[in-house]
Amino acid sequence: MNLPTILIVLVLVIAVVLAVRSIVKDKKKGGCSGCSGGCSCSGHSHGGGCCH
Amino acid sequence: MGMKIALAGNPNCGKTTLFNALTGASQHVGNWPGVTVEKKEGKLRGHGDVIIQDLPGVYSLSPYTLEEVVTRDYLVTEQPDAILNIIDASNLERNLYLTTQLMELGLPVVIALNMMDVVRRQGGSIQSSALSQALGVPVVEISALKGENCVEAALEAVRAAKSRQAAKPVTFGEDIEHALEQIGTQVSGHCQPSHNRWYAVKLFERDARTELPLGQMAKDTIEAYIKTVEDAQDDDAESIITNARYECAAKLAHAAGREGKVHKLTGSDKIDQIVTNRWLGFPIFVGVMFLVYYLSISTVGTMMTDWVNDVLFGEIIPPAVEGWLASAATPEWLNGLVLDGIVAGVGSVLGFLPQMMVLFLCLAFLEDCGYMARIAFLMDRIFRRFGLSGKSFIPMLIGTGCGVPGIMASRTIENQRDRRMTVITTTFIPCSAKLPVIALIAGALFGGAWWVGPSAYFVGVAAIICSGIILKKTRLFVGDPAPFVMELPAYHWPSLKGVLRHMWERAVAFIKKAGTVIFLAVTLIWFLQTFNFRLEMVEQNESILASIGNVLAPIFAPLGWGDWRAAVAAISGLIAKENVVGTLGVLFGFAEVAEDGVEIWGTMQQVFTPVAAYSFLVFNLLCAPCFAAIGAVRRELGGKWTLIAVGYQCLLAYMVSLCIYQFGALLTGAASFGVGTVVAIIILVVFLYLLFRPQPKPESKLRRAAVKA
Repeated sequence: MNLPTILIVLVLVIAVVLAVRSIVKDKKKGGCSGCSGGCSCSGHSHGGGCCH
Repeated sequence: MGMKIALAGNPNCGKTTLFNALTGASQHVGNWPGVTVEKKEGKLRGHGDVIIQDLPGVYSLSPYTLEEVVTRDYLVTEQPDAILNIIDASNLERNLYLTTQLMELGLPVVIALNMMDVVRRQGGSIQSSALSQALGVPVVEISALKGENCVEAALEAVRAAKSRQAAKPVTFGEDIEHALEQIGTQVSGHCQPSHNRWYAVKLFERDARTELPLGQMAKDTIEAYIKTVEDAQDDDAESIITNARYECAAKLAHAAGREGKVHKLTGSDKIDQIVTNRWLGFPIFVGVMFLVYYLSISTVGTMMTDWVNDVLFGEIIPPAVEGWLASAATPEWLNGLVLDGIVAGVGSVLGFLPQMMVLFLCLAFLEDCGYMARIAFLMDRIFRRFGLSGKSFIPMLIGTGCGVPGIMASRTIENQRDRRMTVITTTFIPCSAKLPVIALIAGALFGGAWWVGPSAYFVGVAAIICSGIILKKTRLFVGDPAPFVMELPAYHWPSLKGVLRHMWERAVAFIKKAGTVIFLAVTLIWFLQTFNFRLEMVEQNESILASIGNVLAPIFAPLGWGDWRAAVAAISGLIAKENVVGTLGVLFGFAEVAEDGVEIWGTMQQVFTPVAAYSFLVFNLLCAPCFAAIGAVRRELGGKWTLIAVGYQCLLAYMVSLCIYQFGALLTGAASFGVGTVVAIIILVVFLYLLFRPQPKPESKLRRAAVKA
């Protein structure tokens, strides 16, 4: 594997980790990881109460 | 330490609008109950040490609805430094009912008198100074919508909080006050002194949620005081207090000089005469929803989506990424992952972002202007004929955005059976996540036909009505529809800023989901469709995914889409409904542009006939929702009912899709009469029987029980 390949793989791994972390963080906050933005809780500035 | 000011008031009094004006945070302005079920907070602009707490809109602090329980628990337990009570001046007397309760909490109270412009337009007037004198608390006239005096009202609340001077509670009749005084003596020592009045009133009302460590003797003494008043007034304690509060509210409104009672119709009333008309209402609703989906999918949204799909994710990004990867001499598998997996999968979903934004814009407009509340009222009239209640339609209206809060909004339905039925049927309404699926089918397989999008919405409505009728005739759900009382807020022209802000928030959430859930899902899909079980790179048809898909595909063959890719895409929709599009994007090579210039999605036409495509669409619309929504169902109904709900949804989706394909193929000549057609006819006959069979009588259960005894 050449250097660009290693770097791209590293970036993708980091992206996967960040995505998983974001989903877990949303779940813990009481938000919906499954939210496609259609609910009144978008932005989670509502305290996520609607997703408890 | 920061100061907390709680915003309390009736639904639709402008609380959230005021909250937005005070904090600058983006909050949703909804017009029907169940939109907010928990408190929200933000910092007062320019005063970082002052926290503004927005509480759910409530008509009273009784313990009957979740909003009321949340509001009163917060006010009693967490005790903000002051309450800013927002009153809709055009409904003064009704709003003052809650005020009388807030003033019993032993906290400083300031009144913000909102919508004074509406009162003046109605030809009325309110003397806020007289109201202030009668209540003994400051009253500030504001216009939350126009942002007038909002900060002044908040600062008045801050001054009240600093003074620590609790509002004096209103007084009732002599015998009630005497009983309350005696009960207060019993309560004294078991609660904070400032809460003495509050608990005395709650115990007098025999409030179910009030718990104090009182001994049996104290309880008996209290009960004796209550019974004395009940015997004297020949009424139950709760009604006595309720009537007394209304009398107080009427006196206060009179003291405020509330004149010019409305005799003429307001603008909202005139509009409602047409919009909620017995004959015109439903056609208008159909027209409005058709317009929403037509604008989103077929016209404005499509123009932008076509550019995103064809140019951005067709001619710009894939060639650029491919060129960059080639220059970096990356291995074939990495090229495949990036181009065929991530760019294809995520790009295919993001391609529908413009259509989603148009839909969000339209829904935000309908919500903010007040029309959404009318839809629930209209549907109640229709639903009631079938034993359902319009109260069940409010969660479904919320579900047009996302099924999760729609399911949770079912908590406002007190009747357990109706609640269960609502939860089971709420997700039949297409949520915004299903829009890319609708748009894909409409665009790729129906040439952007105008009727596909609106038909998807009304298939959902029909599924709800039919399911409601069928389920109501079963023993599990039989019963009279719940009474439905709701406030129709006045229409108002929504602010452009507010509507655009809602659209933007939802768009950001959608993009975030594409970058997280969809990204992970398409990466996995790519891996499974690229490698076999020995982890060797193979053709798609020899991959792990093809092996799994080929096991599932025959199940869907009677529905017209027995190709393993379609089966896998439908299953992947359980992760997120947009994932259906992402999966199809990966499996059908979205990132590759055909040499002869055929549209990117042209390969799908080789697998789906139009009838099969519509069958695929309906299946994905009606079957079990995404995992997040299933989780919400489980939280509301528990494990057993979740299985029943998911099972029912999948079964209904399968049978409806099968009928659509079998009859559609027969009519269009794509298939001949066969076993599938016979099965479809049987399903149709059973369905019609279940729909039209007589309603079982609920009292027959009682007769059976009496005979057994």
